[in-house]
Amino acid sequence: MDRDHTKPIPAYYCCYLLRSTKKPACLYIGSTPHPARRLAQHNGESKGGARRTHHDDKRPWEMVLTVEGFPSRVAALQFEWAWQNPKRARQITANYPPDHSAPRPKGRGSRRSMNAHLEDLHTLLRATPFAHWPLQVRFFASDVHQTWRALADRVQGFLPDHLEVIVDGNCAGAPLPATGEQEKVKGVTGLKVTYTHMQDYLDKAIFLLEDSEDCRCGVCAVPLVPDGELVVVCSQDNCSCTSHLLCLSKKFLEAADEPDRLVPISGACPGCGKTVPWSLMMQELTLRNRGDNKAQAKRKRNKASITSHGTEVASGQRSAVVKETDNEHALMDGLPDDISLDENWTESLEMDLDSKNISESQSQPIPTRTEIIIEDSDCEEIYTLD
Amino acid sequence: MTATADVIVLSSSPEQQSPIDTPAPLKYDAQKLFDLSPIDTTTAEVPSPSDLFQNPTRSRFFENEKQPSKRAKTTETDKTGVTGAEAGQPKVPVKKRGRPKKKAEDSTTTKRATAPNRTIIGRVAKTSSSSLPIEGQADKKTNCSSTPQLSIKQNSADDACNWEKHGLELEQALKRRLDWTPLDGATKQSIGLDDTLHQESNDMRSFGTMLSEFGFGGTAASRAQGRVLEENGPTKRRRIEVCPPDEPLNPKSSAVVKKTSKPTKKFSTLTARVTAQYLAATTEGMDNTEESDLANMSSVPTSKKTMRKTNQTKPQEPELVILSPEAAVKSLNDQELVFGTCSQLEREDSPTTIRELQTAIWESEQSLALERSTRANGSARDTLPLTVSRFTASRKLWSVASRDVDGSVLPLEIVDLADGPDTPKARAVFDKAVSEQKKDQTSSTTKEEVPTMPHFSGFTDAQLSKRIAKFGFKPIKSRPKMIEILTKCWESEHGTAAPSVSDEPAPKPPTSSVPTLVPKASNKPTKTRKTTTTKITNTESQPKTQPDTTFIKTTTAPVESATTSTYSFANIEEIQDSEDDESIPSPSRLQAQYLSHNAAPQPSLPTTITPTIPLSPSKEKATTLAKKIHAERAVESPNIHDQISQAVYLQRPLRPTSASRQPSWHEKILMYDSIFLEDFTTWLNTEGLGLVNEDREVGAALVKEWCEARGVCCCYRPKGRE
Repeated sequence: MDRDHTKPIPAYYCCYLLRSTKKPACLYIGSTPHPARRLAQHNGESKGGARRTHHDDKRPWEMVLTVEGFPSRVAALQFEWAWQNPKRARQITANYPPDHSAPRPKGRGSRRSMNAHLEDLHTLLRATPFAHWPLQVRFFASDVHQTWRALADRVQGFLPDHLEVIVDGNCAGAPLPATGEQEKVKGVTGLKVTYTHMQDYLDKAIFLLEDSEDCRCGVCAVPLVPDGELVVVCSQDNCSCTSHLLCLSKKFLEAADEPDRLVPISGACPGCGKTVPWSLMMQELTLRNRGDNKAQAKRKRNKASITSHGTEVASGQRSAVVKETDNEHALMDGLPDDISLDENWTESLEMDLDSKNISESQSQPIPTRTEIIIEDSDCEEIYTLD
Repeated sequence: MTATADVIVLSSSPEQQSPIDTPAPLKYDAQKLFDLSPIDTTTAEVPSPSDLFQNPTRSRFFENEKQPSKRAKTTETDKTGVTGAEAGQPKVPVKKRGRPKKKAEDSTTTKRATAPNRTIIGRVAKTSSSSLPIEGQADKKTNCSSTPQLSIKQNSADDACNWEKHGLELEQALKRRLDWTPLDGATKQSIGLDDTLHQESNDMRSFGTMLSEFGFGGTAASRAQGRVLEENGPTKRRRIEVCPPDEPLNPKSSAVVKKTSKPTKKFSTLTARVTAQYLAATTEGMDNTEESDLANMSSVPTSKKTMRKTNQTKPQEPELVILSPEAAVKSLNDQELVFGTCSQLEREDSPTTIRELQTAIWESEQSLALERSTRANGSARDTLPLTVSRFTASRKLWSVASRDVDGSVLPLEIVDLADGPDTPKARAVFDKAVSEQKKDQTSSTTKEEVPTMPHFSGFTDAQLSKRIAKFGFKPIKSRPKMIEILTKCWESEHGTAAPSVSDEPAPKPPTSSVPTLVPKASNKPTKTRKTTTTKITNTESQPKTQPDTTFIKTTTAPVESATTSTYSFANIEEIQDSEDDESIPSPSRLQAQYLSHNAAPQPSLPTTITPTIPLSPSKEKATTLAKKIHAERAVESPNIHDQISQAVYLQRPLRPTSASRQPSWHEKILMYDSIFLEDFTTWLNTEGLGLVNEDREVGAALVKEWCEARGVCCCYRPKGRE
């Protein structure tokens, strides 16, 4: 199998929108598995970061919103590309009325306002491939959230139901439901970018499946063969329900009454009856099942010492959790891993983008930007308002 | 060395020549032209040591320049020759005419050339001052006077024996520099330097050589001074050397000229070369005018001399020396003109090569013209009436012109040819004209194979899309795809209809084309048969029109169909025969012709096979094409997406996950794996769609559509990995 398929679902991957604190009109779209680290790069606190964010007159940058929950790096990059290139992204161009799209300047240099970016984001979240993904939008800046809400009222069409909009950061005034309060992380550094929060879940799953004789599928009641079959374990702490991957998905999809869907968003666990997110379970499943990573993940888990608030936690996407004192070292460790990932993933993305373009229309120039994307995993772009 | 030599030639000319000239005139001029060159006499009187040094230096110099210098004596004359060569470069072509005949002329020319030298020198001198640094770069020898020892050492390394010579070389350069300046009027300083150097150099032996050189240089300078003082050097010189034409007798001089010709070509810069030529030309003209003046004014002596010369060497001289007006006109008329850029002309070693080239070109052109005329005549002969011949000619042109960019023939042509009145006549004379007409036939044969299909690539996009719509396809964006599909459709459709089209060209081919056609035709049908069978088995690609069942049947017996096809074709051909009876010699032969012939235009094959025919050109292409077509069609039918989903759902029972650790596609999708479209598509086409009894094939684009509609993250496989 390909290496890609042996990788577990990343603990965290997001697309983000940066805004210059000095020049609020300067915006920048990127993607990263580790927003805190990436933001530090953008602000020049650590090496790396896009060239476009290197101007001192624009630093520091602030992350005003993130789109989280991408199930794979490819997915994130695709979304990022579409967001960066609203002109070329099918999802957006299809939805735009022609009079809108015509005058829009071509190419990367197009400078767009926050409003336009949010509009594009809204469109993308409603468009086909992305609407099915387990995404959530997190706002860190209240004013951006304000514009977002205004936009959402204005725009025709609704975001998919499962898409969560989390108001975070300094958006104090927003009323939060109970669940939303949980999700709040107060800042970029509070984002859970590692698998650490899944450790208990993972341990439980491993424990449950070790004595496989007792295990039966919660759906079809057939004894499970954990070594050979893909077994899903309920993500609820106190639930020990295990089931076949296909059985559970079928059950969820039937419950959701969406025959066209292949991948459920969430469903009620047959054991405990609580609604469990599919993406989380898949994260655990892949983390547990994916070949060589299993041992590694376990090792890391055992080593892991979780810092209290998780600030400056430097790690790759494979849950290397390190103490603050080791930050520098960990960064260095994390980077090469990340870079190697970059190569593979971006290649695939490039292919995808190329093919996309080809399939879309021959007349459109093949984007040269994909190359830039390759260079920097969080390749992004500043859009400035003049 | 050569490079240095070249430079030397340029710079050295004035002074070296002057000493050199002195002996030469002494030998010859002293007798006749003494009055003309008083300076020379003085130079001749110059003390012996300088001469001693001079000789070796010159010989040395020339050895360096031209190793083949055979005559030690000629060295003196050589130098004149060198100078002459510089000036007389433009003459070189002119000389070459004369040269093969007699060498005597050259001597005269050289002498004339020397006269121009003066002028040249004067002009070149200005440039030479600027060119000095160049010398320094190029020549180790021509180092600054301040560092004579170094230069000497270098020279000594070359030849231990010739100390003096080495030194001379160095000094020659020095002299040149100095000399050049004196012409401008700065001679005094140079002389003083030389003198001091002389004194110093006397002490040391190595310097002795230097001495000799310096002394020589000094003398030269003094000479130059004297000249300058007495008269204006160049003018005087000219006269002196104008007179010497008396010396055609010297055979050596000619040899010298030959040698000199090389260095003249070695001018360092293009501009120098070109300008030098023109300078020489002007000087020549000057000389000529002077000569003519001389001839007119002092008619007695010069004319006598010239007469003698002319008597001795009439054929050569007339161009070079004074000519009678008629002769001049003659020579002018005879003058060949070689056109070209100066760089071109200069590049050629000799004008003869250019001339030969031109003649060769001319001859080839003529031969071509002859061919054409003969051909035209021949065709006329064959086809009797003039009009016919004209027609054939035009036909050739037509056949050429009617080809489009791809080289395929436009269909329009055939009709004209078939209707053409010439064809029957040509047929009547066919036996005679076989060889000639072969070419035409080949073209016609190609026409037969291709023409029937409309040239889709020539269509506009709108037309193409219209056609595609006519065939019931979903509109396709890419133009090549459209063309591909259209051609396929056309082929499949016109498999039956083609014979009607082939009727038109039919009357012609039997007459002539058969012999050339036979091999091609025989090859093709076999190929097609093979390909058809294989293809059918490989990918059950069916043309639209045919239902699957019939297709399978055809696959079972392809050989039979092939055989039958030939028969049927023969029948068709017979119909055509009725039209043209004249040229058919024997029925058996005819039969053979048809058997071989009908294979080429495949359209007439029986209808059952026709669908497979279009696939013949190349297997892979055809298969891919078929896939594409199917994909396109699959898009049409609404349920292909569902079929794919069904296939994905159904995969599980076939391949339990426990057996191999590989998850099924469904499981991958559930786990948010990004799907490689290539892999998924191939699986669908090979296995997946078979699970749901779906015969269509899907393309990656369609699969992608399906994936995105369902939120499956998909991408194409990155290039690097497999």
